[in-house]
Amino acid sequence: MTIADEAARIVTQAAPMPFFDTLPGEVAQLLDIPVDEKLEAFDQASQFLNSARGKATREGLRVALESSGYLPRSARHEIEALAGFLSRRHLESLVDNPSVLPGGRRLLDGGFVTIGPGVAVTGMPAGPLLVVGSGNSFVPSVVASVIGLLASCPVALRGAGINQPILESLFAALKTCGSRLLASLLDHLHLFFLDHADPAQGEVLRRVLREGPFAAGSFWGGRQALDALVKGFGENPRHPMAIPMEPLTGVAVATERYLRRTAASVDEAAQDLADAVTEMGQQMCSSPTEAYLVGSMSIATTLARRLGQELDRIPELRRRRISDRNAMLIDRIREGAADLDRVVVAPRDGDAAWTVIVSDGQSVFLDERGPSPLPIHERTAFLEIVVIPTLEAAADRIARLPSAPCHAGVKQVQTVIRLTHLDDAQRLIQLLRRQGCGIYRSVPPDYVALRHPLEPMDGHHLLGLLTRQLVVI
Amino acid sequence: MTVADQSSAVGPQVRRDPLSSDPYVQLLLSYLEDRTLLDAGPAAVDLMQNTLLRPYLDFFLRHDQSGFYARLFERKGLLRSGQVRPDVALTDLVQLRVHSDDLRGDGQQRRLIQDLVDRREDLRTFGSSGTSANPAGRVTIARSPFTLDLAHLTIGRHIEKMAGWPLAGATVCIQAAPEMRETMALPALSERAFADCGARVLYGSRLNDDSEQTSLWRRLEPDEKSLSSFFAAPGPKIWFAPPPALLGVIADDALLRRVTGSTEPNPRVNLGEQGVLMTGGGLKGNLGYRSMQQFLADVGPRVRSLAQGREIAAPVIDGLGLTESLCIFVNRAADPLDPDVEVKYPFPLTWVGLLESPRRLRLVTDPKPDEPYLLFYVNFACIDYLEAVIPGDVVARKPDVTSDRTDGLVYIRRAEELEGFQIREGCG
Repeated sequence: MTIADEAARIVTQAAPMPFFDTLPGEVAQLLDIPVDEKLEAFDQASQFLNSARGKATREGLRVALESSGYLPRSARHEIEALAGFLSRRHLESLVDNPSVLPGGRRLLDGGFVTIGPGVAVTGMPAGPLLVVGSGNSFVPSVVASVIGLLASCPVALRGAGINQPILESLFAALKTCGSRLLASLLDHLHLFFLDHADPAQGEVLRRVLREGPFAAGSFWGGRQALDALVKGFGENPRHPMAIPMEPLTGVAVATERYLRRTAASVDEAAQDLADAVTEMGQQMCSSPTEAYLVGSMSIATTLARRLGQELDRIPELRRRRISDRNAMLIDRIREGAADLDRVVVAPRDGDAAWTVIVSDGQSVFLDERGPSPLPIHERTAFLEIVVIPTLEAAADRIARLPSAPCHAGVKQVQTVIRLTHLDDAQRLIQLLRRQGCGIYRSVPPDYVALRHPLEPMDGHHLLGLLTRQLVVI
Repeated sequence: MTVADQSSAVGPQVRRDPLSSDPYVQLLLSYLEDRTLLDAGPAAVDLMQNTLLRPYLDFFLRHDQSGFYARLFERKGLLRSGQVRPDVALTDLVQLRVHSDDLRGDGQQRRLIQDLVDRREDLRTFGSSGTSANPAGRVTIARSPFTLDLAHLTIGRHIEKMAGWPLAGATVCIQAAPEMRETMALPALSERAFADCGARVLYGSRLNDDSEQTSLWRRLEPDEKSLSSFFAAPGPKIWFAPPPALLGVIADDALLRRVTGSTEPNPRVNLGEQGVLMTGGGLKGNLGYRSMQQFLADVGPRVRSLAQGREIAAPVIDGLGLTESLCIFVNRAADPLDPDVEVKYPFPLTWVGLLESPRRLRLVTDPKPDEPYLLFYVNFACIDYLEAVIPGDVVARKPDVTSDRTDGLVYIRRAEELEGFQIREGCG
């Protein structure tokens, strides 16, 4: 029976998905598993993924990721990142983060935690969680699901179609890796796939949103997908909490002062930026899609040329698939930028693999004579470094970025990749706050793909959102 | 309209044009007026193009608009002390490429020579068909009166050579509407080319009143009176019909009977002795055919001509021509099922460079036969702007078996069709 047949069958049933009936009762079953045991179960998953036994699983995931378009290094990093996230060390930090839940795991296990004289709180799972993953990375949907289970919220995970082989093989491997505890925990994660573009499956998906017994939904995707998901959830009579993870982007901010602090500073920055614009095909919300350098054209040009050398050393960039149209668009942009006296650094043989442009004062895409825009979702290893006079100018540009021609569909800047001294980074954040424009992260370049266990996800801690605090006075 | 055969000479209006006194233009005209130009073999073509190269580049420096070409040549390393490098080679032309998408909207304007900017009111502006619905708009190209006055020496003579007989005295029917010559390059240039070679030119279509349609090609309907007149005309004939317009006539039996006077159950068109069917512009999407070959195989039984009294499928010339190209790439007239129909030859003053791929725009110095490459060409006969264009077509080289001509090209596909992987928009 095909998925479409199955969808056609279940659309006629009272409950469109089998987990509708089981999810509410699963909260109590999850509450029966102490947090420490949950941490242990996930740690076993982490160990399995890092072990010799898990080699076949890792290899299978790597192949599936690469065949869905990931650069080999990004595929490798995704698997490493997932194993790292599942480790006890990481999840303990997350659970016991004092800025999220008073008392950490004690509160999650139902203990009473005194938060003031005569006032105590305990934790209560919000209820079943719906997670909808996006196509650009499978990891966030797994992260959200694991956090849901830690909060004793059973999870219905609708994976993106492109990630179906990856998610199915991952959970199949984890359920059979030898940890009974992990297998029983994962019994409360219901993986399903519905194609919203298919009329029958799309209708089932809409019913899941409108009728599902959910308390919350963690949604990942582009603007259009999020609009539809939040709208569907809004029609659910249970009034579940929608937690849309908006489409965001990253920028790099550098200062000449920082780049001149040692003889090797430019080289280090170039290496870091090369990784940052390559990782996950520059398609993460944290990937830098534009860079600002407070300083001179001279140092920006030096940085661009060094960055070009670093990018040239990444053979995967030459092997990545690129559409004819995009390749020719990149050539047109290079020519257009050079025509407007921008510094253009590209492979000697003209390959479309990577491009660095240096612009003085204004992005070449904002010039009315400038080239056609290259939307950020079509970029890999493409970076324009805009030389600006002050941090104030950087703040202005960051605040206005969502209206820039290449950044349509992006809600705001998520990550500032910091190639500055810490005081400048903090000053930049203050400037942005005054403009009413928050960013979510200011991190060193090696944190583009990493998440600190203590850091919120786009301003929120999902664990906190999924845990109701009951007060006793 | 019948014009006396003057197909080897430029008209007085060309001589009167201020540009005609330019040394490059004089050199160009000397080639264009040479009756043997189209007979030149590969070595002669190479010599001509090499001879034209530096004067051609110098021409654009002399007639530069706001230093555009000076900056371009400088940036691309073609200048030494402000002059074109003495050792500049044809292969350097790849550096001067413009993608046809950059000629959309007003992209050509800053590339026009200053003389034409000063005479803007004399220019004729043509747009592409609009069938691709590109958000950047149509390819829009301005042509000078000078260029249009030379159309018979560039396009006309080339078609004449490929048809194998002189156009003077022939009747040509362009399956388009007369109004289209005001805005579209194909009817405008071809009418001038045929007429100035001495052919009688008719238009076989008219426009309907469908104001919803933005593409004029989609508003065409057959002009029965004109078609009847064409099919009844004596002497050699060329029916120039882009596939959608051609199909609009030959797929309608009742119409065919009316315009040919046939009473047969399966009426056919007969173009008479030496008659040639000329197409161009590709299938334009939804005609229900997978390829031009399939289309032509279907057309053959319906469009006939005579070869020494014997009825045959009308030989086909299929032109690869684009709004942005002054000249066309055409095959020698051949049976619609003959693979030679696919092999297109450039005009001798068009230098063709084959580039490695859309993502790597390196000139391939020794392209392998039948391998796909990205087409790039420079047209030395165009002085309106430096016509060094990547039109976005993937082609293969077809060496000429007799080695008496420059290599032919076989169109493979538009370069936009091969899509790479795109990680989808999202958050992560």
